[in-house]
Amino acid sequence: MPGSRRDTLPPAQAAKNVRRKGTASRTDWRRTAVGSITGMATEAASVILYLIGLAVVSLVVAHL
Amino acid sequence: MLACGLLSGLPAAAGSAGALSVDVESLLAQPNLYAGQLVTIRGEVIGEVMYRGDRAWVNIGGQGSAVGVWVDAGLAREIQSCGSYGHTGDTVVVMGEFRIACPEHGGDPDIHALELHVVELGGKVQRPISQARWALGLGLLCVGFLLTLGGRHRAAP
Amino acid sequence: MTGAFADQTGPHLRKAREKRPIGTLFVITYYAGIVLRWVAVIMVIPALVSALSGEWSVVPDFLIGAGVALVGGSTLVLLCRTAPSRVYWSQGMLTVAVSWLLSMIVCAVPSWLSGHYLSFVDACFDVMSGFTTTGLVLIQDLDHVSDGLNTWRHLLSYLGGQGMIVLALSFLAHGFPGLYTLYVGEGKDERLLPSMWRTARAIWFISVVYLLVGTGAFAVATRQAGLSAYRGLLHAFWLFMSAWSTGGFAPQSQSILFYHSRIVEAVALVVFVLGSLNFGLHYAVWSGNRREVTRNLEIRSFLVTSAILTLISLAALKVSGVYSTGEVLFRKGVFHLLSAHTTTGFMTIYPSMLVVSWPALAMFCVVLAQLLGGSASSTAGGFKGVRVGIAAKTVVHELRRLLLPESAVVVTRFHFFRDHVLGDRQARAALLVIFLYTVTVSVTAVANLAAGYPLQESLFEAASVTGNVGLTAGLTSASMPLGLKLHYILVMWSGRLEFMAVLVLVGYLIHRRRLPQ
Repeated sequence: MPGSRRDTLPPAQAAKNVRRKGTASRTDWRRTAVGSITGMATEAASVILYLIGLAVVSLVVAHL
Repeated sequence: MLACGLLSGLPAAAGSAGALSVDVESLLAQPNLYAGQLVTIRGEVIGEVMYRGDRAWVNIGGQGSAVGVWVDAGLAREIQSCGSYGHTGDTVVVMGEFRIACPEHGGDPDIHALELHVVELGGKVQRPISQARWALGLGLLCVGFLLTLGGRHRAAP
Repeated sequence: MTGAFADQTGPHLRKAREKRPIGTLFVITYYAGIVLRWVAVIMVIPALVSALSGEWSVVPDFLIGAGVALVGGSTLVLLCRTAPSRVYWSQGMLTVAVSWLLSMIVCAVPSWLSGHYLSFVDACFDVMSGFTTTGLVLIQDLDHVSDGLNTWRHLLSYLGGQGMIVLALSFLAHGFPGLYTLYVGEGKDERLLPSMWRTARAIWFISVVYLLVGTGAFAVATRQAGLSAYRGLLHAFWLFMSAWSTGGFAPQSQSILFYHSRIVEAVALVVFVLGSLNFGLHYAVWSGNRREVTRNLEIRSFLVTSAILTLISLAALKVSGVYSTGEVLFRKGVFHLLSAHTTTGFMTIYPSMLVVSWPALAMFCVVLAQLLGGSASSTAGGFKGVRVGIAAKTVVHELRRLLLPESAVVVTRFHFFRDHVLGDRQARAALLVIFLYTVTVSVTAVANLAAGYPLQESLFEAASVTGNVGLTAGLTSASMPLGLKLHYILVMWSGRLEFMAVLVLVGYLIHRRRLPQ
């Protein structure tokens, strides 16, 4: 899942994490949650910034 | 009944104030003709009355579309029923100024109502439950489940 | 294009692999059956919503639809006995094309039973419009439609945007042969993760998380607009599914205008722009690679084209006197330009006003925006930003080659999740799809003109239906000729699958022999 390192770790490290099952799962989900929240925030902020820019363009055109 | 009879005469009276009597479809098909003019429309209230402080939005439906009416909340409270799947909305007559791009409401085409009257009450719509359809649906699902189980049984090693 | 795939298979498939035929019809039949089974499962959702809303007369419509889907799907799977061991590229494309057609027919059953369509073809039209996230509708009396049917319409759009094949296959066990070919056949090609199964699940994870957050945002907006709590929540659910999938369906006939709310419009704007972004971009940003937002060719292409078209259309609207204040220019001009560019199709004016009030230059900008479209591997349609960017880079590359000495080696680079060197293959692929879109728009415009519609509306509607946009100048209606409705269904289907899957199907039907692998 986004934010999860499961698919990008070297096999040995991934296997080690699986052995420490409870801790690895919690860490993975925490990373996923943090990644999701910060990712959504980044994307929403980018879109809002872009829309504000278009709003400014609208104001400028209205006053021309 | 008498009140409804009197109220149904209202459009003609409203028309005497210089308002153009028009149906919703014609208004929306040729909005340029009615821009900035006083119009009288008659139609069913659809969706919900959306109160915004001391004013409210009422959407009046015609054939295939609807127009938004910005009206005093007190007048809007006369509306008892709004059109949906389970209900027919009250039929209302509205007289007001049609704005093709209202600057007060972000350029929305709308009517700023001066008068709103309920001329016909709506109510609950009875939708009959078809036992044949229930039987057909459940029957098809049973057959489908049997086929699915049969497929899994055959595929199992 | 690569040949056969051999993803990991589960134990129940390994035994059958050794001696099973892998004929094309066999592959199509099996996977189409799987997809239809999942369609049956999905129909539970609108049935539940109807039950919750007390619409007991509507529930059996979905039971019948689910029954037809389950019987049909299970019959197809039974005909094949066991799953194919491998899927060739062309077979994958054919499977996608046929699955979508069969699903359209089955999903139209509850819509047609509702009584809101004048014919079964009209119901199929709306279903295909939902699957392809187009948004054009032929439904009658939308303002009196049941909650169950409204849920179904918007759900079709949400599921179609993610990809129905991706849906059906991502919930199966690991190791589904040919998953990548089917994924590409649905118009996506970004591998977010090494495993296609994980890629499909990642797409769903992103969509579901946004579903929760986005529905919440819309719920706040609709409450502010004055809707009651329950209806506000339903509307929020429907609006999110439509906005995220850039579908354009709305629960009321006035589209977003019904709410008369700047907050609803603002949330819709944010959600449908987000929904038009590449799933690969979402994944990259969620994985911590925030720089991708500014470096990505597709984002840059979208920013440039949307900014230029917005400026021109706003100037045209201002000069013509249609809209004069900044707020109005933004809420009408920018909203519709972006609704077109992201191929969403939400409207806050009536179709007649587009034709009657808007100046031709602003209309032209909207038409162009519809064609340019959103991002690849997203829910959006149109040419796609990456192809527009590659086309522009190709022009620059060729100009540099001409201007520089013959002995000079010209290298043009672009960044699309990683750095690429522009080569003939990418340029050819991008320009081919742009060419196919352009031809389709032209043919559709001619069809509209032949049916007697005016030129401006014909061009507008042709761009809208081909780019899976959904904005309408009023041409699309139940009174359209039957031939035009069928043509529109074909165009929506082809455009959404980016032509390749449909062209492979046509080629297969014409030649009716084993296709090259």
